[in-house]
Amino acid sequence: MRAWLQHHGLSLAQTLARLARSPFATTLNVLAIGVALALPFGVYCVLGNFESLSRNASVDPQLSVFLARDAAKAEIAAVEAQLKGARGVSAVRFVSRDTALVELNRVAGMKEVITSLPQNPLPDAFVVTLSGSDPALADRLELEFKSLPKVAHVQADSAWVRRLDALLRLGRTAVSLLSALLGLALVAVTFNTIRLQILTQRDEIELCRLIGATHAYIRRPFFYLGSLLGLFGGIAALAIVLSGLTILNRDLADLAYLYGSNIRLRFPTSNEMISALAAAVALGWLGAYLSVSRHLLEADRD
Amino acid sequence: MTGGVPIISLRQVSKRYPGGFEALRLVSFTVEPGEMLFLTGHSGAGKTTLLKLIAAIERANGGAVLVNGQNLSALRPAAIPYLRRNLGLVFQGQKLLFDRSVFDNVMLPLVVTGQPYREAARRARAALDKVGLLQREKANPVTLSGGEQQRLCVARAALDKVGLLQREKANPVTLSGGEQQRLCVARAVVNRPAILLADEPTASLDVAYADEIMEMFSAFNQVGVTVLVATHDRQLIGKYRKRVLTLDHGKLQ
Repeated sequence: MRAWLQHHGLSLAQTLARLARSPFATTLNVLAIGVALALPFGVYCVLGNFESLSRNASVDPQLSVFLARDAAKAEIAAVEAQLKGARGVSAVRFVSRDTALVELNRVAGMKEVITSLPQNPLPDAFVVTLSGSDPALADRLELEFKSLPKVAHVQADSAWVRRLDALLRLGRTAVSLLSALLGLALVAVTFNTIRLQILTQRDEIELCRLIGATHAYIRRPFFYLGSLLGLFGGIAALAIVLSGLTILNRDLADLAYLYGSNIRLRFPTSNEMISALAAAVALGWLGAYLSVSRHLLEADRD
Repeated sequence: MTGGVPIISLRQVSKRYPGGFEALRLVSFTVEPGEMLFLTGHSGAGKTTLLKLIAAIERANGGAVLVNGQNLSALRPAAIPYLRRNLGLVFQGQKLLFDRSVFDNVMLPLVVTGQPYREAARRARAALDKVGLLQREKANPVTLSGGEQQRLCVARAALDKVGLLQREKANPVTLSGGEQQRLCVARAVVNRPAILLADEPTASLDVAYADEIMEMFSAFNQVGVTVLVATHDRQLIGKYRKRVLTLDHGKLQ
């Protein structure tokens, strides 16, 4: 067991030494992997910002239910009971036509218009707050409320949320595709790097096999090499994304200042960063696995 | 040499390479444990192929190769490394690694088999010492001595000097041909194998170096190692009264 650990340590040290011996090639490899990973990870981070925006906005999606103007008090109460009893409704607020008129009066320029009218043109209304941000729920309730007696019109305030949601779904699909594609690129890069390394160590590998090395023994240093390339590439990718976000945030701060708001791009959480690194290591390992297995298979054949 | 279970046994073994070249045809022989024997024949007669079959580097197309009672054609690929750990191989063309020191070359078989580092280093030094120690019989530079203790010190230092121990940090490139071959031997025996297979170990060496290598094999044989040496050097074979297998176009004479 100790010998085994010792050998793992030795493998790791030798691999690090090997990487350090060709710093230029190593840097380029790490950069290639870093850039390949930074793209999907960066897009993911930016999308995450919009996602939290859409989540915040759709915390309380609302439906405005306008009643017919000839609705009697009892009918209004019946509608209110129906609204409160519907599934997916978290709150119902009644806005009487008089309240609405008072509110409208506060809006500059509207006072003259309203006083020129012979009577209050506004209907009684309910503002219904939904319990979930699911667009399907809003659709269902909109239809349901429309069919209630004495309801003249239902307006969903969540149309833009749905549009954003659809866009985000598109974005997420794009990120998945991009991740898959560039993950493949990472595997290809490590595969080739390891293959080159195998070729330069061909004699050593052959000799080791002849003096009783198991496949596991031969694979081990290359696994370390692939995983380390993935790890360093992942660190490079994180550095690229973090500095990119920092730069964007600086520009965004100016823009946000002009609009009097305080929008900032969110940085990835430590969990997200660890997951990204783990994915990079796993992909590097996979590239090494494929490369060494292929070599051993070929070597076994002849 | 009767009654013992053979350590190597070939029965009707044939080997045909892709392309149709028949390297071995119906070869049968057995080797007793602790035996030393020569395998000879013209170049291309199948000597190397035969050694490769015993080391499971190649697989026979027909017949059975048994090493230590194991039938190699029935061996799972995963078991092959463990078979080879019982074999010491001296390759034609040496296969030394020139990107590491003499010491690390000898260490390799121990590292590969997962020996703890300290134990491995001790055995690597012993093996290096051994290949130097055997040569010492001719060099014998130990003459000066005071007390017993002092003599021991001088002797140790002298042994180191004639052997490769002193050169453990050197790169194999800096070794002479004979020294390189000694290094190969050290690497082959460091794992204390039961069987030593040597393929043309004296090719490209002059007579003095060749004798030196053969003396080492003979010494290993005396401590119980089974030794099989493939060589086309009939003169060398003549110096030892050992069994000789002669191959001719893939057939045993």
